[in-house]
Amino acid sequence: MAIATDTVVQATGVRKIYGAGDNAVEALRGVSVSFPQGQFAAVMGPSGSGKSTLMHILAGLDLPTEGDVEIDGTSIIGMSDRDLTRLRREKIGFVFQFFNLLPMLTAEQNVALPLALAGKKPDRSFLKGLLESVGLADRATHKPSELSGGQQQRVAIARSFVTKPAVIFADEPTGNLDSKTSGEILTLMQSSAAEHGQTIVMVTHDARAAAYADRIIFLSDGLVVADSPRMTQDAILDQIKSLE
Amino acid sequence: MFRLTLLNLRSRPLRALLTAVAILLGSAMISASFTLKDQIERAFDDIFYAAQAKNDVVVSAKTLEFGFDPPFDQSVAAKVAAVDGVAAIAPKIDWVGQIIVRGSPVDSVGGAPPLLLTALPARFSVSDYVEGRPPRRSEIGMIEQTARKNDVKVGDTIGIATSDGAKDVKVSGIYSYAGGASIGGATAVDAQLADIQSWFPPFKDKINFVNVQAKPGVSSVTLRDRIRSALGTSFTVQTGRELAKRQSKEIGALLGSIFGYGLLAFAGISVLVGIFIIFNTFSIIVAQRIRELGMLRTLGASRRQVLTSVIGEAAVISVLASVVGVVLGLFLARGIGALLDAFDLGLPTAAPRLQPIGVAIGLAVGIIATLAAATIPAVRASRIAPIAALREGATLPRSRFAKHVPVVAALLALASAGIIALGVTSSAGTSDRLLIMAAGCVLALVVVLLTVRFVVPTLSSAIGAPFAGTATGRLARDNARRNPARTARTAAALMIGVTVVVFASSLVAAFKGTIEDTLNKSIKSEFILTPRTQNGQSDGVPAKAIMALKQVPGIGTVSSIASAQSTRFGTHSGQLYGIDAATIASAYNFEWIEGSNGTLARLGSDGLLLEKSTAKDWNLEVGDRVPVRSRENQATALTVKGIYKDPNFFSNGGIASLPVVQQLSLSDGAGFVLAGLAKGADAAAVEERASKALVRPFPTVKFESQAQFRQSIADQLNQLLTLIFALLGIAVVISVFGIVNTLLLSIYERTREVGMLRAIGTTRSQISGTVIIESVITAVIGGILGVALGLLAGWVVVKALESEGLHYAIPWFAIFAAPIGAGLVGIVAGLWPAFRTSRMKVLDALAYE
Repeated sequence: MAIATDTVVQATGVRKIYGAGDNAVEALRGVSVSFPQGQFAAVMGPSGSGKSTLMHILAGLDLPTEGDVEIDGTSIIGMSDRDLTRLRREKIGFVFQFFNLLPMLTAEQNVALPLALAGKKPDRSFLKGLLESVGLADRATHKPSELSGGQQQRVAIARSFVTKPAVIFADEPTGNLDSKTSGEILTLMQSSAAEHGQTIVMVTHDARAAAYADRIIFLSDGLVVADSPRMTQDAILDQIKSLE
Repeated sequence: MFRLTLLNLRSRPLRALLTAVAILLGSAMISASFTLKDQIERAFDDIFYAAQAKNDVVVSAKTLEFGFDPPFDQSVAAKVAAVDGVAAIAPKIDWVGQIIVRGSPVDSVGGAPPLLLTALPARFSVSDYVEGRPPRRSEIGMIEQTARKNDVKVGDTIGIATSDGAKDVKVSGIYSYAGGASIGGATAVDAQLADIQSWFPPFKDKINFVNVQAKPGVSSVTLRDRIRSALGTSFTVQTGRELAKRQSKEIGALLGSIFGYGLLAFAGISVLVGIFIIFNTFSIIVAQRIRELGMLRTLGASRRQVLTSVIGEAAVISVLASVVGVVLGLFLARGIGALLDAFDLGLPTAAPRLQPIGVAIGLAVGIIATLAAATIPAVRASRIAPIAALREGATLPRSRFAKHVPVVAALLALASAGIIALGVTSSAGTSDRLLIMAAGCVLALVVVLLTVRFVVPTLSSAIGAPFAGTATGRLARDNARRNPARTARTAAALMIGVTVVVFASSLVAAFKGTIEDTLNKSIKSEFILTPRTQNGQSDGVPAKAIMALKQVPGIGTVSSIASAQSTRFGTHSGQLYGIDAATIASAYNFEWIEGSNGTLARLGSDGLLLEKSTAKDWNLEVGDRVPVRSRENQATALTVKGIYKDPNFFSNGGIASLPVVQQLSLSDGAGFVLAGLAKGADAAAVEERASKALVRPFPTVKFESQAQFRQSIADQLNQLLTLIFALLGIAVVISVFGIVNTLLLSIYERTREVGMLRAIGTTRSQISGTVIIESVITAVIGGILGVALGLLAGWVVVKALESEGLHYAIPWFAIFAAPIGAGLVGIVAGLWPAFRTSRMKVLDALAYE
């Protein structure tokens, strides 16, 4: 029997090397970090800092060269593609910069997609509730092309919630949105974490977005250089400057 | 700009390759058709010219019809020998004689007759004995290929089918003929003239050729003219070269054309299929390059430059692919030759040689078809406003014609229906009606091609319904529906092949059904005795076999029927059947228009019964007197005494009494024999007894019950159908490449989607499943539409042929098999794209822009 733990995602001594020999590039040089349940964390860093690589490894999209990653108490090291896929389906949710909705499906069908892929019949009232919680109760039958960018990202967030995952990874979720819409999306994510205990790890280079997070981890050259609780936008910008 | 075109090609080699395959196969098929046609023609040229190499002049009887030359009195030879300038003569008979090796008859292949040739004196002979020596009396020499294929050695005893049944003869030697090991697919043996004359009583004291050699200093033309004036007008006197030319033209050119142009029809289908695929590919490529093209426009590229860039890509691919295609045609010709061999349709072929005309047409069609197919999308691409093109998600503008499509399609559909209705109700001749109906069918095809995209969503849902229980199936269905025009074009490529399959199946079903009905309605007899080979050159059922059959206990009335093909009735040519007036009524049901079964008794030796439509076409009625001349050059005059209706069995001509026809065709046998079952006899036991009594002594005949007879005709038709399917293979392969190409290009567009799906937990097998099901849905759409079009075309053509006695039957097997076959094609086409898609790296796919 597994001991109940607060930690949902745990990375220990993660190294990632791309290529081999003289061409080898070390993207992560030993990162240890853990995320407790209900935390809305932001991972920041300049391009090439390794923040995307870290997220990919934490989300089971890529495997570390060295070190260990545990999701919800299960180590992903040595997992087959099939097991990783199943892990992603059951334990992980994703929100992407380009929304990545299927254009031929309605909002509701897009939200239900992960359940359908798992061969589960989605509960209509649950879906309705989800859409309502992201403020799209009246848009359930709209296709993505009939929705604004912000609305599409809300659908994507609802989709990431649908399997009740242990953790949601958001990759620049506001990168394609105007600032007003960005604010709404970030508030939605913030409240999901605070009110429903949903763990969210967001990768971003936008200080304004990171300011919504409970915790901010700064990466540079493949290492964690700072790890701090909530910061203001200005403090974040200062921190970034100090890294450059 | 052209550099950019080349760069584009180089950066997407797979896409270029898949497009090239569609062009390449079409060009190869065209080139192969011409190559094979030439191979066949040259092979016959070689045989016939070599065969006449030693003859300065050849005398034969005048004949109007193609076939074995009719016999004439052998005293003519002496007359020829007496002509001034003749050094030597060789009278001979070239006829048919089936051989029987170790008790089983050996059939010629490729529709060739079994040849029985006269062994000639050395100075005339073109048979070079490689083993043994030429035949003496009761011996035969055998051509190399026949001996080798049937493992016959010098000294063996084999049988030869004669009017008296099988005669045993000894093999005295094995020879090569005119420098070759074979004469096409024919079995061939040489025998002494006196033997041939004694084996076939109608040839008593007769010959059908006199070969002549000139004295030194007398030219063959001079000698020809002298013999001509000595013999008068009832003989054909030709130089050896003239005869070779005539025979080569009659046989080589005929077969070459049939096979060459037949194959060309299949090549045409392949090219048509290829055009759809190229059009589709370029539509997709251009759609994917909209932003790039828009960017070029904002940088100052003119519309013309954009157009040139796209068409340039097509030009480079098409030239390369067509060149490779026409060369590959040489190998394809060999493959098709092997295919024909496998169907026993093998013809002699000379070494394959690239045909300039085949190369020219293959290249032209490949290049022009590609350029035409690429131009439309290119023009549309160049019409995009530069700024519009740069926006994310810009799509190709609809063609200006697009909004009129529904109206145009509706008008064309009306026109098509009208034309077909006109054809169905018209009283015009068969060929005119066929032309009218064909026009209607082509219009229907155009209508379908214009409207497929409108039915794609509905059909996708219907076909996808069995898969809709899973997310995989629903995604596949939705993918198939999301770009209806693209799915429509991909499906159309396969649809064309399926249409031809179902059309051919419809015709065969109609033939089978018609034969069955005729047998049920007209033939009362239980059994049918026929020659084993039905190539019109066989000697029929020998009289002795008929006698043996009559003695089998339990056999009831036996009624012989003779047939004389290509008989001249005045100026018309048709079939003349000979019936035994005393017995025919108990074997066959006459449907009398004028006359009755009583008329049969009054048929006599000058009576003629005409088939209804023949009488109408030839404008003859009861009481008219008709001069009749057979292919064997025998003549008489007959009086029309009755008119019957039978568009299937005794069709395209008329009926006279058996002795009249036997005399005309110089045969005492029968074309076929109908035999009844005696009252109270057990059919199975009688059949067994009769088979036993006939098979061994008369190996050239086949004794069958009606059901077996029906089955053997069905088998022949099925074999033909299988050959058609095999030849359609190329078109189907092209459609497979089309589906593969479309899938790959579509999935390439959806790369990021695939990445997302994988990220949120779609397994590799689910991704594969989605691709394969989409492929299956696309293919089955093609299958279903092909069935619909094929059924229409089949029905229409059978309707047009109704006056020839054909009536429509639904080809159930094809209706069910075609969509299933299409589904299998879809699975095959989907496999590789599915594999590739499922192996996409999730991160690369997600990062893809």
